[in-house]
Order: sequence, then structure tokens, then C-alpha cells
Amino acid sequence: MTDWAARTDIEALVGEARVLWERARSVSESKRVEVYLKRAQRHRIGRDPISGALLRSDAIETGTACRVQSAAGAGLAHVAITGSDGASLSRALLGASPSLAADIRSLAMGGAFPSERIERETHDMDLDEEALRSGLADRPALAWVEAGVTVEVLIGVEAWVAVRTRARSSALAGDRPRLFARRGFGVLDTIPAVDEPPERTAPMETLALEPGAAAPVVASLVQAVHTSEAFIGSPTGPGWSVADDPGCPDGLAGGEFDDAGFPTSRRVLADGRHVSASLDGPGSYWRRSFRDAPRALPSTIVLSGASPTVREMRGLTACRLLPLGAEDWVVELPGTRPGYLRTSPARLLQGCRGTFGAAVPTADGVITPGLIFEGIAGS
Amino acid sequence: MIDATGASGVVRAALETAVARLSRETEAPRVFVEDRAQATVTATARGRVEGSSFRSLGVAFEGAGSLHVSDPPFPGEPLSRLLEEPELPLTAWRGLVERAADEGLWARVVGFHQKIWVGTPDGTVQDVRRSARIELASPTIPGATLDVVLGPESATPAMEVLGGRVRESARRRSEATRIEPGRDGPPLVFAPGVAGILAHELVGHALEGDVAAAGSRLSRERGRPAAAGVRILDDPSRGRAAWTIDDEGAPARPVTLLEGGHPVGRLQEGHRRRGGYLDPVLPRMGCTFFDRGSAPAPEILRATSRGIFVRRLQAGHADPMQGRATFVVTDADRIESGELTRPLLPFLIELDVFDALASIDLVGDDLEFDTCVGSCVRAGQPLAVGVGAPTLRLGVITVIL
Repeated sequence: MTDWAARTDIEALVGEARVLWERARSVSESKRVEVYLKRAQRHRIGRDPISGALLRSDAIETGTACRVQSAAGAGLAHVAITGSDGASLSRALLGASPSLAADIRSLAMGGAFPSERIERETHDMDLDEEALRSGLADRPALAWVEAGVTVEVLIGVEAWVAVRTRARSSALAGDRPRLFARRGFGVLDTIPAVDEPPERTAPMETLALEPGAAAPVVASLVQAVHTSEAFIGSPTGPGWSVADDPGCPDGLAGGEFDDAGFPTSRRVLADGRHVSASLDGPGSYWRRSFRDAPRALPSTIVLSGASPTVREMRGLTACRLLPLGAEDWVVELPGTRPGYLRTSPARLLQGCRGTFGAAVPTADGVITPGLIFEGIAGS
Repeated sequence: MIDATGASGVVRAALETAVARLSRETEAPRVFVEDRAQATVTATARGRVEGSSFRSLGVAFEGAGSLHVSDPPFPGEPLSRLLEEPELPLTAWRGLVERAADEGLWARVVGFHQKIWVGTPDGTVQDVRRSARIELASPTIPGATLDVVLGPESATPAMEVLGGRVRESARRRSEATRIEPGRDGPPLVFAPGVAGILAHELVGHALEGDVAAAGSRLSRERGRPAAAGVRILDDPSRGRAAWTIDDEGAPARPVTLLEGGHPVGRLQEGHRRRGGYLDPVLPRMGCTFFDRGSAPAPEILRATSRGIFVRRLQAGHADPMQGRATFVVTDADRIESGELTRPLLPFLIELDVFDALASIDLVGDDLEFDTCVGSCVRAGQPLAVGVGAPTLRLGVITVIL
């Protein structure tokens, strides 16, 4: 067994997590204890900016989080430590105080889950270091390429165990840095041979964004519109047909169960006519990092597009959003002379008129085709 | 538990062992150890106080390549057992947010205390960095906010005074009007400290060693010289999150970046920092500032017949290769006949580095630091940084929206 495999050995990690769970129950004197243990191993080949030599960098990151509900039931304490040392976890728990603002529904209880669930990465997890190295050597525009595996172990209140493994790869390209990321280790196969600078040639009444440019707009809109119930029923343009799909096989995030252990399912957030749902409740609890308690967040956002969908179109390859206020956004369109549009989440939502091309995974974790916006100027 | 002095000694011994081992494989090995505690204490609108803290521990072994590991055995047991957790003044911070809540404000204190050790064949050095700030906001008027740096000893700011400033900001925000976009906009007069963000975004990023080597516009073109009094420096030993040695073990050193409108220095040795033990080092700014000028500060406003007085500013996007940056002016007033008149709603401006520097015509004598507070994120690595400037007048802007 290689070091790579040994450090991410599921059985060993489950054993570690069980010991931490028992310890947490003992220290906290509570029976409502959940432990989350995560180990990530990343392997990066980077280019020295001065000499151009290829350098290898490995990272092994382990983190443990623990949530405890007191017997009285008031509030939920969350602690997190770097590593998996039991003494450190004990110390953190002894200093913890419960948060009354925590979403108590996010602590799974009731014993309805199988005693053991294992969700294995469906992509190939055999790392070919030489392929990464030669791939970087062949692509002078790349600064680095990275491949990594993660194992997450969750032990719930009733001692059920849920395990997930992931494989991801990413690369940074271009003078104007662009991040590429993919499920599995094949990111190098997805990077275009020519990185054309974004140029705005058409007037801005119609704004066409390639998937890489559309993704940050989609992510910001989902955050603004679909994380509270305030927008439910609001009208959308026909292009805004959006689902949160944790089970999507190409998704960078998500899985069969969320980071609190609840089973997940595809959730339609908008159907091209109206906002139909927000992200909330069991099945939507994710952790941005082991440092953070799980909360309602998007997993993999997928835009399917709606008719009429344009097959062939060329859009901008980059775009930035600058929020001046909650309802006052600026869209910056890079180019030799950048363009700017003052808009709002509601205008973008209604102005999403259609899609073009195929939906592709992006580094923002969004799977989207190109998007066409019309009439979005104004706030 | 070993006391801090003893632990430090054990860490030093372990560093020397690790460096000696790496020396057999590489010419210039380096081992970086980080122990960082950070915390957030928040008072909600209902006056409920909640806090969270986190301790980050790890080691980076660097030679021809690098290995970054969380809380490894170092030497025989996890670092977290060896070292005492860096102390954060959580009780004092809790008191601050409680007093802010009493003033009817939403409040949050964010702070960290980081200890680092760097081992090289030349020996081991240690540094301590810490910083804290309090964010205050009106619970009813969006955008009426205030950021204040807390001193290293958590000196208590007068909450009634800060509360008064937030309420005044809320009043001004409710009366604010929108500015007309256009090129060749009116001159901007920056309140003391605020223009430090321009120095950071327009000049500092362009003169980070690797960015300058890649051909940033400021490093490759000779621009029109700025007024004789315009001088920009970066001094990591000043500002809200100072350091005395960088993350490669080199002593921090002040660098003059710009003199008379021309770049004269770059951020290199003494400025190499990392977001944490998992990250590679990058040349970074510590505290970037316009040096003190000679114009009496009150005279700058009086000498401006028509313009905009900028109280707060946020970075938008900086493109050092093109020498351009956008900024969001979040709090400003019109200047008419040398007087502040009507407040303005947030707006976006764009500056060209050479045009902007050449148009600075008045630099005040009232240098202040960290009146605008922010973090810098580079290559995904966040870092607490400081900025400073005196009152300063700048002539050429484009008001985008």
C-alpha cells in the first residue's frame, strides 16, 4: 500500500473517528454527539515562476469537527480542530459554548439511517504523477496542476457511520488567472488549447456569457435568490431553469448524503418561469470546510436551460460581479476597454432569456451552458 | 503540558532535526511551523452574544519540493499537545460587542494570534503576529457600517463615540443621492488613511516581486512623474497586522516603492508570506502607504471648489498588468466651494495608475493608518494587511456607475 492509500484508508479513518466520538461523548457528558473527520491529500506540480522548473508539493490536511447538543437541549455547540488528536478535541469541547442561533434541525437524530453508508468516488482514483508532470510540461500557460483525494467520515448521534471519498483535480491557467476544476483526475483534458482574451464586441443590450463567465453570475444569483424564501414565486426569464443536484456525477460537491448525514435529492429551484424553492432543511446541510458547522448551502447547481436554446453562439469568456449593495450589482465585462452594467438580482433573474451550447462543469462548482441575458441594465 | 518557553525549545530542536534531514536532499531547506488561533465574537440584533474560535496548526517542509502537514507528530507527539494555544482576549471582545449591542448596533469582533517558527540551516527564528478589528453596523440602514482596528492590548474604544459615528453614517446614507457617471469626473479628496487602498491596489500589487518580473505595467513603462511629494512605501512592521520576520525567516524591511511617480523598489525578501502552513510563500504587502506631505490637511478641502470627499473605499478589481483598478466608493460627500454638502450613494470608479499618480496635486500632513480595514486575497491566500495615507487630492477619475 502506498503512502497515498495508507493515509486515506477508510477503515483506519473510521476507527479514528469512532475513538474521537466516544471521547467526545465522555467529555461532553452528552449522548447527542456527532463527529466529522476529514482527511485530504493533495499532490501539486507547479512551475517555478523564475526558473520554470517543475516542483512537487504535497499537502496532507486532517481536520475534525464535533457537534454536541446538551441534555437540556438548548443550543448546539460546534468545535473544530486541526488534526485528529483526542486531547485537542477534549480541550476544545471543554471550552465550547452552545450556539442558540444554530439550526437544531441540522443534527440528525431518530435512528432512521442505515448503520453504515459508504459512498465511493465513481471516478478513477489512481493517480499518475508522471501524467500530471508531463501535462504541465506540455502546457506552458499553466502555473500548476493539482490532484487530490478526500475521505470524510461522519459518525452520528446513534453511532451510524457515513463515509464518502472524493477525487478532484484542478489547474491554474493563463496570464489572467483562470481556475479549472473537474471531478476525477482529468482536468488537463478539459483546458482549451488557446486561452482567448475576453473581448466585448456586441452592444450590451444582449449579453452572452460562455459557461466559465456565466458560472460566477449563477453562483451569486443562487446565493442571493435561492437561500431564503423571500423570492419564492418571483418571475424568472425562460433561461433560469435551475436545480440543486447533489447526485450529479460530474459535480464537484454533493453526494448521496449531506454533511450532516441526511439523504439528498435533486431539488428544482426555478423552472424558467418562477422561483419555486429555496435551499433549506435536511438534505441541504453542507460544510464549506471542516472548520464550519453544516448549514443550508448549494451543492452542485445545474442549469438545464429552456427553449428556445441556441446551439451555436460565441459569448464572453470572463465576467465579474461587484456588489454595491444587496439590490445594486455591477457586472464588469473585461476587455481592452471594460464594460460595466448596473443591475440587480431581480433584473438578472428576469433577464435570463436563454441558453446556448452544452452544460459543462466549471471551477465555481456550477454546471451550466452559456447564458443569454437581455434588458438587465438598471437597478 | 510543557510551558511556552520549553515548548519553544522543543520546537526549535525539532526544527533543527528536520532541517538537518532535509539538508541531505536539498541545498536550501526550510521548515515552517504555524500555530494560529482565530476567533469571531458577534452580538446579534437581539443582543445575543455568540463566539467561535479555531486553532490552526501545521508544518511545511520545503526543499526542492514541499510537504505541508496538519498537526503532525513534531517530534514525537502532535504539535497541539506540545504548544500552549495562543491566547486571544475573548472576554474583552465579548465586553465590546455587548456594549455595542447596548448602543443598538450589530457588532462583530474578528481577531487572530499567530505564532510561527522558521528553521533553516542558518538557525531558527520566531515571530508573533496578531490583529483584531470590530465591525459595527446599523441594524436598520444597510451600508451604514464602521470598521475599527483594535489595539494589541485590546484598548477599549469609546463605544458611545463609535455608535454616534454609525448613526451619523445611517443618517447620511438615508439622505444620499446618486452621482452622475462620466469620464474626467470631479477631483477626489480622500479622508486621511483612505487613499492607502489606492497605494495597495494600484502600486503595491504591481510591484510584488513576481508580478513585476512578469511585466506589470508600472514596472515596464515610464509614466508621467507624480507631484514631487508623492512617495509610497511598504513597511511590514507598521499597521494593523505587523510582522518582524517573514515566512521564510527574513527580517521584515521597509521598501520605498514609488518616488516622484517612478517605481524604485519591489516587494521581495522580507515580504514573503503565506496564508497558512498549507500554502506556498508569495511576495506580499504588509502596510502600504502614501508618505506624509506638506499641505495643511484642512486647506486641501477648502482649496477644492468642486469635488468629492471620499470617507470610505473598497477595492473592486485590480489588473496590475494593464495598470488599472476599480474601486467602490462606499461613503462620500459632494464638495462645493470648499464645503461638504450632500452625501452620495455608493458608486464605482476606475483609475489608471499613471494618470492617477500624475494627477495627485495635494498631499496632506496628517498621515493616518488603517482608517479603512480590509484583507488582501492573493492566489486564494487571505492576509490581514494595513494601509495608510494622509489627506490627498487626486484629479483624474472615471465614475463608471
